[in-house]
Amino acid sequence: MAVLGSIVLRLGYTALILACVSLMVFGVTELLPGNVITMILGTDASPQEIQRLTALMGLDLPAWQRYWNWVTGVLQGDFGMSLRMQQPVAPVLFDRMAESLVLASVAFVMVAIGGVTIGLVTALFEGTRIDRFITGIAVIGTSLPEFVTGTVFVLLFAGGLFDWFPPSGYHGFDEGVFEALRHLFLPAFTLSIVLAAYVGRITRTSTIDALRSDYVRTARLKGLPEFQVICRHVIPNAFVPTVTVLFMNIGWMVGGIVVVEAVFVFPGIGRLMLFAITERDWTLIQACALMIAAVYVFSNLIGDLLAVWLNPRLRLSSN
Amino acid sequence: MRLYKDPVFVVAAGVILLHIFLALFGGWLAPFPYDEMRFMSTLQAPDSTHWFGTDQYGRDMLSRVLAGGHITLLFGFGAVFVCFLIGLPVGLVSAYYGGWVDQLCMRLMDILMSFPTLLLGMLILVIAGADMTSLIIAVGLVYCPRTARMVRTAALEVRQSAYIEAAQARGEGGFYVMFKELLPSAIGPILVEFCIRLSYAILLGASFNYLGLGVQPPQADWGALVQEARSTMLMAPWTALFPILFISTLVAPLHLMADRIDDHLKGGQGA
Repeated sequence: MAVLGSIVLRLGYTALILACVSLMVFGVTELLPGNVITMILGTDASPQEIQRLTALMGLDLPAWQRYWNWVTGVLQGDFGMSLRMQQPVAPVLFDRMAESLVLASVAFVMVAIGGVTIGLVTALFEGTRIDRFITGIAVIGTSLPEFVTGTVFVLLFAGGLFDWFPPSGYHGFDEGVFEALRHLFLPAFTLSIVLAAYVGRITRTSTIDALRSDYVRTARLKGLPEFQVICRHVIPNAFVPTVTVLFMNIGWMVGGIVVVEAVFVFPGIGRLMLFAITERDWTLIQACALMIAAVYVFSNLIGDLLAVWLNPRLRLSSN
Repeated sequence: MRLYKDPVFVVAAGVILLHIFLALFGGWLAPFPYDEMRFMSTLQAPDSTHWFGTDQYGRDMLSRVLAGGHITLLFGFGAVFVCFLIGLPVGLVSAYYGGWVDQLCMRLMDILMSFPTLLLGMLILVIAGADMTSLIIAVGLVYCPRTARMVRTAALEVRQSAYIEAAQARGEGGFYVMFKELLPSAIGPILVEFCIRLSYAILLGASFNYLGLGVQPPQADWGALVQEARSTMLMAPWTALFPILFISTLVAPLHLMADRIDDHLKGGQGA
């Protein structure tokens, strides 16, 4: 029961955070410099025209009422009209979101595979040159921003040194699976590096702990071959923290994806947001910001719930 | 082992000091004005006149990289200053008073942290406009909850010590105890936080500049220089390579230094 209670509490907390986030996003666009009406009509519009459009867009209403209209609209999937694209925001937003999700999913698979491999190899070779070399590379990997790693990859693999991948662009899976994956590889890889290094470090620590545990000693003493010891006793125990960390950091990718999309000219929500900012399209800024923040909040929620579900000790301690 | 005998620490600290030196005196050392365009010598490869080559407008890359370092370190230190200006008092007050004060401070920080860092910074920059001051404030505000948490954790470690109680028994005020007793005893982890935060502030600020949301041309930090090199870097890789080299050699040593100090502190406690 206590578990259920804590889940309900967590859901309530998430709803509260989302409400705060939507208020902040709305507040930001309220403060946005530049009058929207003069932005649309230009500076030499007649007072009647200005008045008509103000009433049409509901800008004469008090702020709380506009906030309420906006939130109820969003909950029904209506994000308003884009000021620059002359069309509703919602379809564009969902399209771009879907592309970003594809990119993030590929990156997530890379993080899982890369992180676990790094962690296992460094743990099994603890203290050797291999360990120090890979750990060193991982430290450098975590300390570089995406625009640097991305640019270096373009210089190395997309036309500079080798010409294996396209340096930019993405046209979806219509062009064929192979072409799509070729366009996805470098952005996804760039996005995955920091997180893979982090997951690798967590896996290394937990694997080393498992290797030193009593049950692994018992397994070895009863004569199990080393391969079986690792597969049956070390890995299952070492992977609980890994999976937890993996899911708790999905939200982390949300930030990185904006930069990665800019580096590789990838048509996702991050570039849509940048477009909205440079064009001062405030309905679009609101929509993108809310969407990105919501994805972040929800992935943190899923991460937390998974962590409780996977870790019996956390589950019991909440009783 | 003493910290200054640790080779990794010494090398990292040396490289960082060199960067600070170049940032301070770079404008003076630079062979050309950083924004002087020469259309007769665009995209020249590195040679004896232009050590780092020239960009698509014929501007000397060495001079631009040096000027960029000045900007990068300025917003890095500026942002960390904002971070500690807010995070340090909030963290200390939270740890010292505890109870509902602590709850209130930490929940407020949680709300700030429920935004992805990059998004929050972008929104602040959209309101404040793209320039140096906004950049410093945006990065500082984004990271101050994390600094507050670190300071709180570090201060909680020493909160229960006898000398805190002694100071209270002497009748010292909360302000005195926090800044004269708590802060000095928690200075180790706070120093680690400073190094880590500085590296993250530089990375985030440079990312904003890369996205064009920070300092505006012809000024350019290393992030903006990498952005400017986008269209030319496949023909003229030096336009991207040197800014990348400089930002990497600043940020990686900061991480390493934080790591060494942290190790040293833990070793000291264990002994």
